[in-house]
Amino acid sequence: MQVQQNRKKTTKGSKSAQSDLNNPLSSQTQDQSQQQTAGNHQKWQENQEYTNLVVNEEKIEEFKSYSCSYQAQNLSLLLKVAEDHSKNSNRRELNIFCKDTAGTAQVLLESGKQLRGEGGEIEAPFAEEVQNQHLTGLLHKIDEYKRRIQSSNNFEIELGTYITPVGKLNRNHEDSVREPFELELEIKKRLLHPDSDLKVLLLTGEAGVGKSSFCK
Amino acid sequence: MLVDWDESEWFPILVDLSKLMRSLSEEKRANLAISEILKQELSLTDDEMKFLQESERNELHLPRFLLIYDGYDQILRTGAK
Repeated sequence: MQVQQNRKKTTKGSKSAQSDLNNPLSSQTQDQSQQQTAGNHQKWQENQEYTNLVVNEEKIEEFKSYSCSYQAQNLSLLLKVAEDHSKNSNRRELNIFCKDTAGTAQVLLESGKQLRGEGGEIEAPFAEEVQNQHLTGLLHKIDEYKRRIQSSNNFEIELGTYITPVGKLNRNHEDSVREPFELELEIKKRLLHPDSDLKVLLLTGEAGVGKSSFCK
Repeated sequence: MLVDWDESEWFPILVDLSKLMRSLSEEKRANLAISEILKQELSLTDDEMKFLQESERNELHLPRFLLIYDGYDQILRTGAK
C-alpha cells in the first residue's frame, strides 16, 4: 500500500512539473528575468556613463578653481587639468594637442574662458573681499589710536587748568572785522563745516599762549 | 570742543612735529609726507593708504582725517641752532 501511495505521489509530482513546463506564464517569467538582466546591464552601463559625467563635472569645477588664480600663470598645471578634462569629457571636444607652446596657451586660455564664462565674474567678489579687509583694518587702527589718546593721563591734568582761547584774524586777511572771537566756534564755522572749502588753517601766537593745549 | 566732537565727520590726528622729527632719519625728514605721518601715528600700511586714496570717502563711511601739526616753532628754533 505504501509503495502504491509513493508511486501516486511521484506521478503527481511529474505532472506538476509537466504543467510547469507547459505553462506559458512560467516561460514568460523566465524571459522577463533574462530581459531584466539585460536591462540591468544597460542601466549599469548608463550609470557608468552618468558617473563619468559627474566626474567630468568635478573636473570642470577643479579646472574653474584653478583658473581663479589669475589665468595661465602656471601653464603646466593648466595643461595637465585640460588634458584630464579632454580625456574624460564627452561634451566638449577641445583640440589641445598643439605642438607649439603659444598655440597651447591660447587654446587653454580659451577653454578657461569657456568654463568660467569669459572671466571677470570671479575677480569682482575677490576685489570686494580685499576692500572689506582694508576697511576693517583701517577701522581697527582708528579705534586703537582713539584708545591710545584717551588713555593718556597728561591730557586730563591739562584740562583742569584749561581756559578756552580767543582768536583774531591775521592782519593781512581781507575781512576788515578784526574783533576777537571764540576760536573754537570760528574754526568749526570756517574749517570744519561740511560746506567749507578751506583746507589749511595756521594758528600762530606767542610761546605759552595755549596753542598746543588747544590743539590737544 | 572734544565733548561735542562729531566723530563721524572728522578724525583728528595730533602730530607732535618735534617728536616726529626726532624719530625719523635725515632722509625721511627732508621728504616728510602725510604718508609717513599716517604710518607713524596710525600704523597704516602702503596698501591701506592706497586704498584710502583710490576710494570714494562717501562709500567708505570713514571720517575725514584732520591732521593737527603741533610744535612747528620748536623745529624752526632747533633748525636755527
